[in-house]
Amino acid sequence: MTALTPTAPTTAPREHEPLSRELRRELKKVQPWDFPLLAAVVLLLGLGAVMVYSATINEMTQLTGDGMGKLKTHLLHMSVGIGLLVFFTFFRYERLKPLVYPALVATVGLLVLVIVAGFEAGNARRWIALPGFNVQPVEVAKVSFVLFLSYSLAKKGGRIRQFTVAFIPHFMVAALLIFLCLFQPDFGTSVILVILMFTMLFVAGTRLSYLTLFFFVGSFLAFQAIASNDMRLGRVMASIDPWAHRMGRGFQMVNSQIAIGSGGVFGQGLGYGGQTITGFLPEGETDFILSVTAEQLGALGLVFVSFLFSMILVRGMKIARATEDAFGRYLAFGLTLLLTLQVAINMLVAVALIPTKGLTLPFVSYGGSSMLMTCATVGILLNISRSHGLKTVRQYAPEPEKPAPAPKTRRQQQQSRFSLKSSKRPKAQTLDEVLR
Amino acid sequence: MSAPRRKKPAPKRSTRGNKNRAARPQRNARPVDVTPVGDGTIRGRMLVVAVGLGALLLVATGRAIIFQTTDAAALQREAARNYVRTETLDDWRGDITDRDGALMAVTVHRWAVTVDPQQIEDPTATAQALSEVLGIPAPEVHERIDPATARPVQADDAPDMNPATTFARRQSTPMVRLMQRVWGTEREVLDRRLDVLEKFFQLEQLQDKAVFPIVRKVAEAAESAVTAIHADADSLRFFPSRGRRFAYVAHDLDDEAVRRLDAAKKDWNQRCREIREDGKTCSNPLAQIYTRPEARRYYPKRELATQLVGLIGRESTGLSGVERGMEGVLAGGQHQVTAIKDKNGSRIYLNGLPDDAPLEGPTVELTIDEQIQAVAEQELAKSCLSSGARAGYAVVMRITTGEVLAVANFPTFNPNTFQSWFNDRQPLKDERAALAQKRADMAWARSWDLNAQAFPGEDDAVANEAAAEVELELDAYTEYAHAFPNASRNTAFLDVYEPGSIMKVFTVAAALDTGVVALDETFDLENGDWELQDADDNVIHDISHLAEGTVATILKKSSNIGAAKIAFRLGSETLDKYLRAFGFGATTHSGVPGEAKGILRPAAEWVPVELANVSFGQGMAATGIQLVTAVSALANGGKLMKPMVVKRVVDGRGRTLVDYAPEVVRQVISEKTARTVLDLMQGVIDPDGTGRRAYIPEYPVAGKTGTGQKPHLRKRGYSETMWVNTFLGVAPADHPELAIVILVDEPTGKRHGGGLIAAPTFKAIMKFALEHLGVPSPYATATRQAWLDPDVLAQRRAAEPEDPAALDAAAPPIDDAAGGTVPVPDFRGLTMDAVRASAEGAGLQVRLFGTGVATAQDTPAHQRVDAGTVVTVTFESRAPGANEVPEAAQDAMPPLPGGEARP
Repeated sequence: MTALTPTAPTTAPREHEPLSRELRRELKKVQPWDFPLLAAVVLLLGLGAVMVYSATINEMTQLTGDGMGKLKTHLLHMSVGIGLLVFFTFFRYERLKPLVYPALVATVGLLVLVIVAGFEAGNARRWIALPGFNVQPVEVAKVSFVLFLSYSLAKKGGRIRQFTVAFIPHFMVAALLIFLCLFQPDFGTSVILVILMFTMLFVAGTRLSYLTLFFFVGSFLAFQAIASNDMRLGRVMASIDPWAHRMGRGFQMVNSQIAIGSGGVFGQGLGYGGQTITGFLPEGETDFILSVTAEQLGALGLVFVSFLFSMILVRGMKIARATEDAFGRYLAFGLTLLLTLQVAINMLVAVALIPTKGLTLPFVSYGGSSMLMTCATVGILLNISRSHGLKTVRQYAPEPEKPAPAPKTRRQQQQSRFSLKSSKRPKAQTLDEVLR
Repeated sequence: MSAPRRKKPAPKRSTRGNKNRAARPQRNARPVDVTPVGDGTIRGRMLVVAVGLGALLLVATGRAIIFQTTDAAALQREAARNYVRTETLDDWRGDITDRDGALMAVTVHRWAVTVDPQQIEDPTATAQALSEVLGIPAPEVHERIDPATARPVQADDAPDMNPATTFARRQSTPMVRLMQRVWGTEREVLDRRLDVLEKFFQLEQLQDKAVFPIVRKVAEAAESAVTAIHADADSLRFFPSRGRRFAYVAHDLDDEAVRRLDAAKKDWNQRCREIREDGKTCSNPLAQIYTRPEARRYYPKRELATQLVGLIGRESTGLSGVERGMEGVLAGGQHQVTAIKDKNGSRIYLNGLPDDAPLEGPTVELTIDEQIQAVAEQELAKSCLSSGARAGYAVVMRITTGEVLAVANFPTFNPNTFQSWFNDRQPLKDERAALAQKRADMAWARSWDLNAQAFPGEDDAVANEAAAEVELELDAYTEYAHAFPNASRNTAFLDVYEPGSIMKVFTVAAALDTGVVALDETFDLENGDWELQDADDNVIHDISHLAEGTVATILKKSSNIGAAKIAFRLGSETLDKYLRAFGFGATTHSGVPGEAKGILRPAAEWVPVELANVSFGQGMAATGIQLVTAVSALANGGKLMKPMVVKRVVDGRGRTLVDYAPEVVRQVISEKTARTVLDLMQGVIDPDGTGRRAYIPEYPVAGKTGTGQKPHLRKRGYSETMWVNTFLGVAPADHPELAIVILVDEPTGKRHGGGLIAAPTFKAIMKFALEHLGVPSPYATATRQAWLDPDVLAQRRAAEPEDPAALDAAAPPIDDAAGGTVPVPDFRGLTMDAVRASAEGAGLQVRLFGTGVATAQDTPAHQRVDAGTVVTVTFESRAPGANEVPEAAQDAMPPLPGGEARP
């Protein structure tokens, strides 16, 4: 591991004989992590803390007398999240492979536990109470599902074109998770899981005809699911014309719109959001934190936030595209998709284009499980980006005395990369040589 | 969401799809042989997904930006509708203080509990929970919070009200009244139906016989409606408040009660959460109960000057007294405040309190001196209780400025518990209202010509009988109510009395000023009976049967005949002119709302006997403030001052806003005349004058007693049993400082009179007030106790009556010839400390028994004893017992030589 710790590449060459100019230029490109991605995340985390504080200060002061109550919890979550981020940045993502199935099993276990022993809030049973911390298992489920999909898709390779190979195992896992989610009930997460699965299958190269088929079948089932439940139907109807249901189901949407709109171009100023402090905007610190931001920072703030999330999307996709390793590529793509999809849905809910889902805005919203899992996600992404940065270096590095064995088939190559023991040592030696 | 996007790239990928399809024959081969999906495909599809996600983000951001730019104005209006509230806030009502800043009325912050009856789900549970917290009976709370019955808490909802009145009020809603009238017994059906319908529909035509059948039908319809719904007329309620969104549950709660309510609310929340976790439904019964701050008036000095200070109503507006007179000042202003209100209705000030936040209104500083006021009230109460009087007042005025230093009224009450006092009087008021109603009904019944047909031949007799009955009841009520004077009334300012003999002072002043009489002129006093020889053969009587006397004698012995003769010499026009100049017959503009202007008929309408009457204070009426202002003018060199009740107005930061300056109204009589009249008035205090009991050893007093007759309650003419005892005086007579008028209304004792009942009160108040104000005694002070006793003074006055200053020069050293004897002070009414101090000053020993106020001493006051003699003084508790009152009245003064004389 010592070999893999990031050391400043620019200082390294001084101690030894000068490297070639080409190598030096390439070395400069190598970054220990994807800086724009990290910068975007850090900015969003900081903004999130400010927004959570300004969204909760009045309510908390009235309820408990301590206006900073929720902020403190949020900062605690954030610091644990940053710890996870750092940890996963230095935790080689390849080593996640053996953890995929245990993670999946643990997720299912948590989802069962929440059905059995979770506590309710707002008509849904979503949390497991731990001392000092409430766990929301669906957040874990999303990440472990992405892990599973990436692993599985990478393993299946070209066979993904086959219907049975592509759909049956993934569909079964997804069905199990969705089934457990609907028990809570958590419709929003179910939708996300479905979208995740199909999008990743699509990217992995599944035939479009199968996807089209599933799209129609899925739409029908979704329609049934919505039409069969009064609450969901009401939400959908309300989302079509929220102003007609201003005092009922459309209340949140209307007030979110009002909050965003009353921000204007420059916003009302930090801590001055009228809708927020008067409590007319519900769930200001979780679901509708974007509206809080828009109200207080205006269009400028909103564009800035949007830009940061776009940055995450762009950098995430770039990482995914740049990664040669199939698992890494799918993982990077899946995690980026997961993050950005949540962002997109949350934003669309905030501007009242789709019904309320109960999804948080990653990095910004208050919520421990979400914060931890998104931070871990970014950590993994950074690790993936770093790994192909290292690979670039490796490419330009002088040939080691013992050349890496040329893979015969792609599959063998993958396997050799996956087997940690065989590949780690020689590469480490190479790297050491390069950097010293 | 993402599905439609996936469809789009499908045609582009068709070539690759075909390629894949070409590999279909290998579909069942082992996975090793499968061609991996090309990197290009994967990257391409990733790009598609990325672009799709980016598009979603763009759509969301774009829509938000549309909200924030083009729709911003409309949405901002909506936002303002949500939480911006403009409200009008009242200032906290200002304080009222005495002249030295002692608080007499303050505003305290209390809490009211309010409710939105529409939101109450289970009134019974809420009522139960509330009654436990607030200690109000649950049914009562229920009535207030039930959406069907809720109405604001009013004064008459107080629990300690007369049950009969409560019942009557509950029945008095229009609907019930209608139903009940209809429900009436067979005999009254006709009258009642018409009565009801006439009153409610206000139709003149209903008295017309033509519509009679229609009227009957309507009334019968109403009756059958009541029968049809099996309604009990007693329980019928008219609900004007259905749909009300706001009601008071309780008023005047302290912080502790609010804390208890909050705790109960939280407690219920917790309990409900637990119940809900068990899967049952539960709603917090206290969830819709709110508290709001309210301002309440508190009077820290309780009874002190309460009639002058006044009261305020529920809406914090002054009802009476200075509270009402200075309403504009005390209420302060109103402020339009734009505040943000959160969902629960609490105000949020984002930038701290606004500059125009409600402040405390200005403080009103009275001219009242707290201590003089207290003594005046105490002495007046003593006098009224011991004489069994119904009412009384005492007004103390500073002569040079016209400031009123004390206004004592008897009886008095505690304004902080005004409500219970008010409720006690409620039956009286109800009775009066009922009687008035009865009389009005009677008048209407008599004017109704149908009676003649209903009771042919006997209608007049029946009506007269009924009317006579009502009149009898009214008489009984009048007498009954007369025994309970309104304690909240500032009698000294608002009520007029025929002042009696004290008016002679002003008659004499007028006569001397015009010069129609001379000081040395002797009048024939007719031995006490003077027939006027006018149309009615009126006779004027004097109690002192004197043959003749000077002006001084007339005042000293209070001769009606003398005063009348002076008045006849003056003529009615002149007397009227002077009396009006003294301020009689018009308000004094003291600023006390509702001040009476007295009764003084224009001189042109006077018959001769009326001129005589006015000269000694009959046939005209004056208020206490008029009397004291007028006598102050006498003492002030003839300058009439405008009486002042309010000294200044101070704002919350202690800056003086208004400083009321003394104001001379007019010069009534010349300074010389004024001085002369004062000298004459000093004679009244002489040992042989009617006002001798007002004698103060330290200060020369000028005064006049009065005993007025009261008009009969029900008949014309004067009552034989009802009297008004008055005293009016100033001191010190050489440089007058204070003027006091005392009035005791209807003393019931056998012996009464201004000199016997009012003068001692005057003495006590005046003595305290002068000492309290630090007015120096004009006499040599160190040894005055030793030699200034009535006997010595009388001798000295006889020798040199005109010049009190000469007394100073002639004051002898301590009278050694008397053999070291000292006069015993009058200890009665003093506290134990005062007795000790007084005895020490006089050089006596005292033995003290009991506690409270000195009521008896074994050696009579003013008797000379050897210095160092032991005097035993008995004390009793301050509250006068019922059986002690007449005794105290009898013993009010020690016997004086010279026999009994009545003013």
